[in-house]
Amino acid sequence: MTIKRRFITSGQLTAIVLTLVLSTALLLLPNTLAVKTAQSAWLAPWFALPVAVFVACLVIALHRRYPGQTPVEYAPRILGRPLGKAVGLMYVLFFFHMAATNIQEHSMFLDSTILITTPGAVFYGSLAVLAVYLLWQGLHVLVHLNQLIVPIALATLLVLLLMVSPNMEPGHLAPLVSYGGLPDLLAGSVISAGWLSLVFGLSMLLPYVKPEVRVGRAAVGGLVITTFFLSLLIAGIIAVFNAAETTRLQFPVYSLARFVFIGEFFNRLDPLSVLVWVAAVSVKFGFWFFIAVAGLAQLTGVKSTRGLLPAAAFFVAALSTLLYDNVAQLTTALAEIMPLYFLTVQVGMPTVLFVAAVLRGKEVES
Amino acid sequence: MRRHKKSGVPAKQDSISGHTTVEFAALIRKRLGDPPDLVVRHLIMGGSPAVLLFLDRLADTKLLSETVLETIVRDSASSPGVPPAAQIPIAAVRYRSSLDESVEDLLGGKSLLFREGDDECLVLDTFGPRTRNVEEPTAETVVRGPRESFVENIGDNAALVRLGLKNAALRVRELHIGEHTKTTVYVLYVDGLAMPSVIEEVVRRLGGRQIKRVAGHGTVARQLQASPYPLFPTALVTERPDRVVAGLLEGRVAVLVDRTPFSVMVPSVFVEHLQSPEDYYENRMLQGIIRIIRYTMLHLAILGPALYVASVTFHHEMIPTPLLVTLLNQREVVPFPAALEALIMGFVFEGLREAGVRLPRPMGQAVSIVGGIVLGQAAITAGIVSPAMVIVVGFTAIASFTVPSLSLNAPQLILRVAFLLGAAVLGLYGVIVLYLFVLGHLLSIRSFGVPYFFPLVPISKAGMMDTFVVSRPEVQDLNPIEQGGIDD
Repeated sequence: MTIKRRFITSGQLTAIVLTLVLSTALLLLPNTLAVKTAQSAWLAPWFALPVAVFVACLVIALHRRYPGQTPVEYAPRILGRPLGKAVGLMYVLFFFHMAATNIQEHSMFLDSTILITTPGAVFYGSLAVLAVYLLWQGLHVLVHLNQLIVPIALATLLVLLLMVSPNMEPGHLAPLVSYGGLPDLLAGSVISAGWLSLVFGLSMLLPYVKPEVRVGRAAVGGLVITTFFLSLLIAGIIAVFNAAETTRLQFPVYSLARFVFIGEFFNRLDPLSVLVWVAAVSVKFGFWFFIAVAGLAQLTGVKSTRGLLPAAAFFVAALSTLLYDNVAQLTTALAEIMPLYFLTVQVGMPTVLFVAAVLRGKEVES
Repeated sequence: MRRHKKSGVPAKQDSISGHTTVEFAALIRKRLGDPPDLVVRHLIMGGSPAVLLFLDRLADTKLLSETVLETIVRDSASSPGVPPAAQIPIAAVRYRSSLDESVEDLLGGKSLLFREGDDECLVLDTFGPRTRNVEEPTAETVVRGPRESFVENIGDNAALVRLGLKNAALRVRELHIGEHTKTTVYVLYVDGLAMPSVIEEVVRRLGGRQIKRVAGHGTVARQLQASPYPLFPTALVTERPDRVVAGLLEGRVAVLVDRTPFSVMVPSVFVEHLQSPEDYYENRMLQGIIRIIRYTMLHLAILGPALYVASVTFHHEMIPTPLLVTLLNQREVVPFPAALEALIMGFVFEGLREAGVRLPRPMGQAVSIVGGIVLGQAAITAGIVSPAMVIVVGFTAIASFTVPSLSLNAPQLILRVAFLLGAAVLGLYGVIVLYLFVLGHLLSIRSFGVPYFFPLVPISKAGMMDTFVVSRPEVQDLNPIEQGGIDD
């Protein structure tokens, strides 16, 4: 068990939850949800919230049983060494996969919006170098940076919604739960649950949280804020574009940003909103990358996470080029394949670990 | 008593004891290489021969004549048992038995009085060279506020601080640093407010390393910086006593350096460099707004050219269409890409500024005419740069002048070029990625254990108030640095 400096405060923890989930969900989820549940899409995140809270509670309960340890460290203690190591490996691979997906979402979004002719390598290269630089100074730099960016990002989102509000047509949101009825809403909820349960990544960061922080409150608070913003944003998007149009938009949030007018003269301020999004997503990638590398270090028993950073960044960047060929593939995968995958790993694994831990009973601290 | 008279060499080279007055004077003269300004005055004191030594103009000759000489001449017949110190009406006197120390005192403007037969010589504080008067600050001016700034003499500077802080807890520690210069340095702090660890670290860093020559406050600031090659200043350099007083009350440690009118304060955080002492003297609301303007201006000073280049080369859609048409018309005749244009103009501006700072004032006017009319107007007419670029560079310059701290000039210049290059290559994406790098760097710095971005991150409510809204000094927490976030 590596010794971890416990410095994350309650506010920082909430900000991390927001970053882990919201920053990419707001980009890709509205479209997917509109396909599944049409104008009721904004309700889906609320149905998914309990699942995410459940995940958060599992993760926190496990951490309470094994304080100061990450899943990669406590899985072998719960399941025995070979099986536990296998679970640890699965966790690490999942984290790397998340980091790589993240980097690719970032590069695909920029490639199809503000820098169309720029090769993708520039985006994942710069993101990987940035993440290595930030983490080289320590996790606290990333946590603090996140604390600065999250309020700005949320404020931008609110301003964005406020500015496009004249274009909103509340009628687009009615009738509620008609198209396909409850089953479709549940389908949307499953997808949302996959995204919201990304809070699972917190399991690797809990050992760094200050002991006096009320973790449950901070995490659940973060989830509620995330859900609120997601739901608000989706409702806003559908109110502006209507559900059918939203399904045709690759990045509905970006399209929304293009609807912002200030007076007669500024009618295209979307690059500015992209800036804020890039900042948020860079930090999000930083967290998943850290989680993956820290997991790898703990799995292999390497003492210094730092030393692994450059090589791991190269690996993640390379991996991201292999994942999806284009945005259509990415969105389809996120809508059709990922929910099951997400839920298996993020809800299933902690449940198995927790049940096994309970069956093992109270362990004597060694 | 006169054991060494014949040999002429004292048993211990450094000892004063056992010399005749003539020998003593010769020793000192030899040690200093027979300087023309060393005054040696032989006297008779209490019946035995004595010698008075001082450096002309460094010691106050008037004071010497009025006090020492008069006393000695008048009381030359007084009893031989009375020690010299009791006879001289000078406030600050001390005995020295070491020749080296005596010579150091002599070089510091003090006078030596040696009476034959004594083991020690008397050091009289007759320091009185011509010094500058306390004048108005030049680098940190305020419209309404105290007009005092430090001078070159460290004693005067310490007195200026004491005048503003009549507190028994004010501690002054004296150090002598610099192997060659033996510069006097005072470490000032308020007992109970400054963290002992910081004080110890300051003393250690100033004394520990082998400093050969102390080049003013620069050497001290360099010793106290967080890294050997700092991009951002992690020590606050100020010429204002009121600022030092405020800093001391916030738990900082101030270092006064002899022969320099600047003091260095640590720990230093980023937001300090955007604060002016005037913020606390004027209307709080107004100064709060002005602070926000400063933060915006700092951003514009660094990002201005980069944002312009990114907008005209990558994101035309952001510019209102009529303006875009005008800009493109202007740019049509310019052969260079916008980024190169910005680099050229930026270079010219920095050159002009450097010329303006160094030149004597009458010639400075010529520079401004050449810069403003010839380089600005003619360059546009000649089609070398576009008018919009001149506006951007000019505005960037104005923006950079609003930043109160001169220490931020270097990072501004370096970052302006870096962001410009980033914008030229990747547009706004390049700007934001670099911005995140810079933020990451800022967040990783610590000045004596205090996070450089305190109180923004980690957040301190009181500190935040003081960062964006000016809090009243009367109710300010005396030690915002200590109240949170240090061990975070």
